[in-house]
Amino acid sequence: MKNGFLNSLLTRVAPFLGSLVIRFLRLSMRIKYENFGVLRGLLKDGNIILAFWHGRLLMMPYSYMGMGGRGLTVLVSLHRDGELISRTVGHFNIKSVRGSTTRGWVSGIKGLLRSIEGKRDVAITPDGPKGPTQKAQMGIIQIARSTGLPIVPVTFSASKKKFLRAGTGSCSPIRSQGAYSFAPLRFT
Amino acid sequence: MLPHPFSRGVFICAPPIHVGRHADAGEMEAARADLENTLNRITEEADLLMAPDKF
Repeated sequence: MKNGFLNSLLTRVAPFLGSLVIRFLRLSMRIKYENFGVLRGLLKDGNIILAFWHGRLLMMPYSYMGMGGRGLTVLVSLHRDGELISRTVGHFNIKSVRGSTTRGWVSGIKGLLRSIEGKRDVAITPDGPKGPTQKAQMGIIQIARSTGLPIVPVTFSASKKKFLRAGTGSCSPIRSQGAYSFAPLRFT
Repeated sequence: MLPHPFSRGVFICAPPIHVGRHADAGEMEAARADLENTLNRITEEADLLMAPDKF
């Protein structure tokens, strides 16, 4: 009982704190944008599929915000960490649908297609949370094919950074049993 | 990847990848490989751009 309460509290509080950390990082950093005329131009003409590696996820709200997009929906895994990611991006006005190529594929795809029908842009990590790291899966290509939307690859790096985990860390039992506290920061 | 506060950062955007509505298996695989290579290329480029100065 007590654990349930604590868990649900952490599930709410951790993403909020995570979003504050991300905002603080953005404010404290000096960030350059290279070649984002491409994204602005495409957003002016219609919707897009934003693609980035799972390992570069943390600052990604800022690759889309202020670019003239109409609203973003991101595909997030059904894994418990997915719930935290989903709530964290919610603080940036980014919607999420749950599912992945390994689990909940159909519900994830349906949610994405519904978003696209509603004239929203969508974001996908083509290597997914389980990896293999930096290997694109076919799912994003299938969505691009059926919707006709262009895929826009984006990435992020920093002069000082930490790689928190191997990208396939989500297989670890510790992670799946939810040692919660820093989970939102645990995107490799 | 977690950036340090007060460090420098860079976002890089690559040209879009289009997949035709009637793309066959071969064309889809080519698009997949293109996406993978592009993301790896710009990520490497971003890391190099942000490499700490040696001197």
